[in-house]
Amino acid sequence: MSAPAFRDLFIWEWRHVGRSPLLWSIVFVLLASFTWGAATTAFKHDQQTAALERARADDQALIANIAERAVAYRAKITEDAGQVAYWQDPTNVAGYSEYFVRRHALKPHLPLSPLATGVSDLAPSRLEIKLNTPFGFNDTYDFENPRGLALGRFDFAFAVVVLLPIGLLLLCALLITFERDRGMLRLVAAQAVGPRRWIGARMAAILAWFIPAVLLAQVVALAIAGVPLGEVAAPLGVSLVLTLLYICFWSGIALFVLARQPTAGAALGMFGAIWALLIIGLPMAVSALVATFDPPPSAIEYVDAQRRVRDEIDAQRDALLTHALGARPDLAAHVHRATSLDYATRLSFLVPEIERRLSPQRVAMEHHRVRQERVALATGFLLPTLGTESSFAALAGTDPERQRRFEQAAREYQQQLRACVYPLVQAEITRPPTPPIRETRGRLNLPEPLDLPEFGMTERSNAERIRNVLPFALWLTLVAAVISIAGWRRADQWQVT
Amino acid sequence: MILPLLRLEIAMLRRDRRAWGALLALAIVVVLSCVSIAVENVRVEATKGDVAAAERQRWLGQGEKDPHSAAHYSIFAFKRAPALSALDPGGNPFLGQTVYLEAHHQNDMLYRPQQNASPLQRIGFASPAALIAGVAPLVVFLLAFTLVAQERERGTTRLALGAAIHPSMLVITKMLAVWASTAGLLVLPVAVMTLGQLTLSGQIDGDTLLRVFAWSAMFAGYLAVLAAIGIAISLRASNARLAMTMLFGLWIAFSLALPRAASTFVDTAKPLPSSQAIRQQMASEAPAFWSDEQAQRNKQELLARHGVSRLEDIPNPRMAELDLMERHSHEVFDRILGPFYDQVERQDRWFALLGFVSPTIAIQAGSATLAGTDFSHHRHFIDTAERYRRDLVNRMNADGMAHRAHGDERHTNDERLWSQIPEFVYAGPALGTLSMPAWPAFGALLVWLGVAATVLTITARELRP
Amino acid sequence: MTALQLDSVSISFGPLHAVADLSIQLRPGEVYALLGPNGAGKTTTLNMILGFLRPERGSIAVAGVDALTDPLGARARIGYLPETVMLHPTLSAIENLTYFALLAGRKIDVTTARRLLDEAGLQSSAHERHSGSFSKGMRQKVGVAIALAKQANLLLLDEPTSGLDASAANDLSNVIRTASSRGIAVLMATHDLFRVKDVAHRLGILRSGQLVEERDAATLDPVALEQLYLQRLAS
Repeated sequence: MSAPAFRDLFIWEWRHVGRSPLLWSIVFVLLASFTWGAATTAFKHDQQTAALERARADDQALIANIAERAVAYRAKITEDAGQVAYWQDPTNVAGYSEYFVRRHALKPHLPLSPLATGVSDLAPSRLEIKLNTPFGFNDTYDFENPRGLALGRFDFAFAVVVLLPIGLLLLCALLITFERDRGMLRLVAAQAVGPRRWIGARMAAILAWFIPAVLLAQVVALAIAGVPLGEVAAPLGVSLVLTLLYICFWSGIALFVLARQPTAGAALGMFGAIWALLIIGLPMAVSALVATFDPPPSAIEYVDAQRRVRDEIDAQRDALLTHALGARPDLAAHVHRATSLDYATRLSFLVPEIERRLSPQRVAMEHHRVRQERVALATGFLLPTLGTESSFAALAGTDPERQRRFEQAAREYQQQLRACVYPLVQAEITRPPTPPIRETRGRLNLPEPLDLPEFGMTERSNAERIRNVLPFALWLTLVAAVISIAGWRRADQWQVT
Repeated sequence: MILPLLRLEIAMLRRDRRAWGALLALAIVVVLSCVSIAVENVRVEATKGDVAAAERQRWLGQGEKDPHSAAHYSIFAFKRAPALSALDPGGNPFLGQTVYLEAHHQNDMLYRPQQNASPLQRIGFASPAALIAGVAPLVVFLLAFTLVAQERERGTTRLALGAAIHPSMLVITKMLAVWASTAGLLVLPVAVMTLGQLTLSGQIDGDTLLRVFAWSAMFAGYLAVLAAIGIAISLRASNARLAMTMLFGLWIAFSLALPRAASTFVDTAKPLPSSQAIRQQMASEAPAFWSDEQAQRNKQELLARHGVSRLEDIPNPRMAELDLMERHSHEVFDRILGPFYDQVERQDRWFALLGFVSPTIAIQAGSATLAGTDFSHHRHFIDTAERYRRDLVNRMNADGMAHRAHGDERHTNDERLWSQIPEFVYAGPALGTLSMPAWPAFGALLVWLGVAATVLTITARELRP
Repeated sequence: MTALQLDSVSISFGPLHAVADLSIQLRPGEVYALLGPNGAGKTTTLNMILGFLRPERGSIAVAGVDALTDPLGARARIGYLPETVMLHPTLSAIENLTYFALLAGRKIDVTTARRLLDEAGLQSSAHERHSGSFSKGMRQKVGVAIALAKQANLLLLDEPTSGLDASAANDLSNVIRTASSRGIAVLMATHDLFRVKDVAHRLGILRSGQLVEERDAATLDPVALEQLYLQRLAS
């Protein structure tokens, strides 16, 4: 007579675990959580998409209005309709540059966005681009209820990262400790089976039900949330693999703890401690550590710096403009006009100077942000909870890195607009000054509004997004394997004496 | 009789290395989070104080200029961290800290501390309130389980009940032991530390004192609810395994799933209009100076208002028009932003109402209110800063209108006028003076206390040796 | 071939010599009662035979299989009945038996399971019932059926009559006799002198881990057995 075959044990366990109401209760709760998380995130993203559409329509309405006014202001001055002030005049290139060049940089959601809220609740997906806003755009944001932001959203990633391990651990703790708690373990141990094979078979049976059920729940939840599954097959597939690996990671932990055949109480206590450590304790400790050694540059001091620099620029305005005109071969001959330039033309010289003077603070803030992202990325390898959430966000396109690239693209877009408009504004310096009285209502030095370029952002392809999460996926595979092997080795003896 | 028993129960708790260790670990983390937030607050507040003083000097020293230009120059107003924000920063990390108070615009508050937070910073941010609300239930249940379910399993409870102790005495002592241990280690130290810090920084007054006591009492009440539930379930469950499972499940539901689900539910069921829509509406309705057509309408209204037929008959028509537009914008801001902020508060009220579903929701809603870090307190700052802005701009415009200037003429003024504008000093509202959206949360917590006490009483009554 | 061979087996827990130099040999079909007070080393001895504890010295062989080098092989030849047999409450007697037989490396069909349960003395009406409603005696019969299913060479009983009513204890005696008649050796750790006298062929008295007496049960009447037991514990 030999020890039972693993296959036979597994089949028996698989049949019985499949009948467990606990298994299906947990799977049902997870399905409900996944669906709720994905659907509410999709709802939020739909609202944001609608806002982007409104912004796009607003841009088009402004362009149409400018064109209409440009035509209207070609008319001769009458008693009822006089000269138009320059800030109201789209045919005046200076006024146009400051008051009529306004476009939105928009970051659309990707089809798989319901997978994770990521930074989509915090960071703006729509930036108003004007020529003379330092560094591209104001530090605005879409207001969300701060209570909701502080609590965090119940999104799909939360359901996977936080709730799924609890469900799995609860399942393992209750199903694998049953014999211990009921006083049957000695009888089990007295048969011709070792603890590894016995625990392994049951664990495998649990996972054989749990993994397909959870993966199916993931697909169903995302489908209910309106994700076009066919379009996102590749990243969706990778997200399923990540969920699978994450389950393997936690089942490795479960195996490690249950290898010593504790009671359900002891197992749940230990699981609770490990869960709290990975979800709360370690992130808090690492975050506090990072904040201590690399505190963020003060935003308040940045406000102070902006005010100081603007005051300095105001005080040195004429000298700066004289110098700027003098330094330009095309404008040097008109340096005497430096002190009589209109506001918008002055800005075309002064805003770059403001940016130059503020750039140390701005660069420091940007560098700090990039460092924080890198630390978060590295910590993701230490904390699979964080790594999984970040990977989901990367696949969903709601990750901080895409946001940063969006903001960079917005800044580049502003510079592109400046390159189109500033030369026209500054060229006016070389022309004779506008006579105080003119025939037409508009200035007409810009007879047609400019056909400005549209905002564009180079999106990473699905393959690139997947490539970005692969190192973590491989690492998670390794960690899950190591923990599972350690758990397997630890289950070497029956703990029944 | 009860005191010696209580001491004995606490001694038993302390001997259980696992449960007591978990409590101590959480207590240390709670204290560290409180210290960490307080230290950061001190640093940031010092900067805000310095920059606010610099802003005042800049305002006074801006030199001679047109008062409307001064209204554009204006100041940045800074929101100081509320006195109790080390206990519960509430939504403040996600709210702007400063607002630019300029003419024509009611600007958003900018520079949210968590604006560019990495995922690590976001999940790594924890406050005493969040930790006690979210993690303490697990520890309380573990202690209750240790003290009751395990004893039952070992048969010790049977022995104690058989020793002629009235069951209710046994139950009450166990509940008190769990409550006293957790309240004493989790709430008391941070409350005392906060009082100490407030005293040292000279921020202590009747209101802060009341807030600290109310906050501590609320959390003590919360822990009492949890202790009672933990003890009752441990006593009623047919075995220790079931008790542990139920307590674990209850923790997940109360503290992990329901608060986020409730918050997301409220935000989804009662969504806020998008900021984009709000800004777009304000941008299209508030400014009345972007087109010549609007300028013509303004002119007609000005003439009618001053009862004259020519602009030249108005002492300073430019400033009069600016004043007209400014007052128009106030009406627009109130009409658009008022309902928007009302909706935020309505969301918070609904969230607080869901405190009847989970005591953790009730404590989360109530704690921020008592700490002065909920949105209703933030709105008080927004409204105060906006009032200041309007007073400042109106005063500048009034000075302009009082002085004759036509065509390219400009009336100017200097520090004599600037100094008539008082320094911006913000004092938060006293507890109870705002219409607090969190009121239902306090009611919910009281109901939870009642339910927990009733369940415990019934359990004690049904307990037989 | 002996069913069980313990040679100079010793184990200590810290300074405590739990079992010292214990040697026992059981022939097929022999029923051996290991007597002794609590803490004498009876359960420790069973734990070593089952491979749950590893002796510091000595050797153990079950039906010729070295229990120290091949504990699984040894356990495959042992039927074990703990003091309280606990079963899966939501499974029927047949399902429980099938499961434990599987753990022992044997796949049995329903017909075989019924036969084994019958042989163990469990009434037919209980075969399909969930074992959650079983009395201690009924559960023990399922335990015996498990041992029979394994076709064990050795049956280890740990305080088998503790908590059983007279009828159930009598049933158990019958089962032990049946097992013995089939050539299964039985090692029974017990306090129950009456049952020892009823079923055992030989008995050993353990005191502080040492075998202080070994006798043929047939040479002692119940009174003499009790006197011997008390005498050995006192000396």
